[in-house]
Amino acid sequence: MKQFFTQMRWQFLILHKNNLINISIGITVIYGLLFYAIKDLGDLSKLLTLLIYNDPALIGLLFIGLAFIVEKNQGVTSALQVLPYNPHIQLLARMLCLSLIGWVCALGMTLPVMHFDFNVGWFSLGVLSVCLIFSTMGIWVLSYSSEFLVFLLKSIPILLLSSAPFLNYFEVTNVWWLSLSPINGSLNLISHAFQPHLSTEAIALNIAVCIGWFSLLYYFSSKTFIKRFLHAAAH
Amino acid sequence: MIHVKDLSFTYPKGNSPTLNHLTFDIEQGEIFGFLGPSGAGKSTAQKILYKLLEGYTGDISIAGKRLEDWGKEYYERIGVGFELPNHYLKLSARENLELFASFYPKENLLNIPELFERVGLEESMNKQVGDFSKGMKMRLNFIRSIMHNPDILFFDEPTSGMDPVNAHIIKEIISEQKQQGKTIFITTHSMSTADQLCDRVAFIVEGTLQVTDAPEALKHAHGENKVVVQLANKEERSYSLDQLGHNQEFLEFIKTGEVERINSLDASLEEVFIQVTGKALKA
Repeated sequence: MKQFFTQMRWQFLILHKNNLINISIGITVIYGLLFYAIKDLGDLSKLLTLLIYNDPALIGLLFIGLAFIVEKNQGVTSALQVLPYNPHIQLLARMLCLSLIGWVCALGMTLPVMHFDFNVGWFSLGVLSVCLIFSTMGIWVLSYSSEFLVFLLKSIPILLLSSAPFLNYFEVTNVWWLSLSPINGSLNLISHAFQPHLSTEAIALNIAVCIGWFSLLYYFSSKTFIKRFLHAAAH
Repeated sequence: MIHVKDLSFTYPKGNSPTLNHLTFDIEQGEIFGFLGPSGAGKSTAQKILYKLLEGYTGDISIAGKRLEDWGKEYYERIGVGFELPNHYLKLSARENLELFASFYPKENLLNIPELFERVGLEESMNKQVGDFSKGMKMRLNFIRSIMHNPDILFFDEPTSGMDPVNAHIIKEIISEQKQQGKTIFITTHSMSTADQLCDRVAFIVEGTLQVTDAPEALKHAHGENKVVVQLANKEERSYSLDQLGHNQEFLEFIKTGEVERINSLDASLEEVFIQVTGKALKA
């Protein structure tokens, strides 16, 4: 556990020095200003849910890829592999760091508009799980990408497909199987934070769904990532 | 310490083997060098030994244990100096070293500021590595490989990109590591590095070992058993080393004028390499 927290500290420093934290804050400020400009247009909780979802999703998906590609281009990936290190520790530490950044940014854009008129607990769980789930997708896409542009192009369909539950959320469609999407649990939690509509059992189920999807995606993505990205980078 | 028998390796997309039935041993406290042109398979052999490449055939044992049986604790026992600089360019040199040091047990770590001082980087250790020259980055590579005091060291072109003064410092430190009983495996195409550092060298060409011996023995075996005497007036004659002290012609000749130099006709390591392999080192 000590090694994990040590690595988290280093991951924060690496992300900070590569300006990824500043970029995240910059994006948040843009979203925040946008939302502030339209805050008097009526009930914006659904729109806010979409924006809140979008920010950590992008941070989780794109920044994890960017961080690893920068590392690979600097040759550090092979240097790390001759250390007595566990790649899962580094991977999880980086994912958690990005998720915490995503969470702070999401809070930063919500508080000026909503103050504390929302449930911070459900909100935080929803945001963190969006970021964590998207970061697992990010490392999976990265396993099949040789450079950042390829990674970016492959990420777009993943982002769009994963966001399909918003069609139900905005009542454009009413298709049951969209609720099977990995982000549906997170979406329900964020939405519930603004407009409570879930029973205790439903909250528990949504949390379980988030944990289940994250575990499943992490298991398969990390295996693919270690085999295809880390080992290939070392050659 | 390192025993390699019948090692062969083909890259997954390769048409022919990169390494062909290599067999060699490296004893504890020895500096062993792979000498060969680019693409000969030197780095590939090292990458297999530090477990970056899998899918080889043959037997490898390190410190009495089969290579495949070593877990991540293996990396506490070895240090790897890569051929090219590989650092977090946005971090300072000190942050880079401390980050890598965080993976090792604290009790094994050498003093980081002292390491910087040893390779002349003490004034740059808080500067961003992205601003370093290649030589500075290579020195950072080097101290990163020894900072956890490993038993076995792998260096791939350890003085590459360095000026002669810094290359000399690195060679000095490598020799000190040997004095401390470390086992050192160097790959290089620099004949002078191999000649100055290695107890034994192996010539590798197209993945095949051609010959393995001490540099002195190789130079002697492939040179002429003669000395060349040159006088101040540029007159030059060569004499067999056999019974040189009783060779009247030689003794008379060195009395005929001021002797400017006497050289043995040992071959250089590069000449031996070309004789043995038929290839030039920097091909």
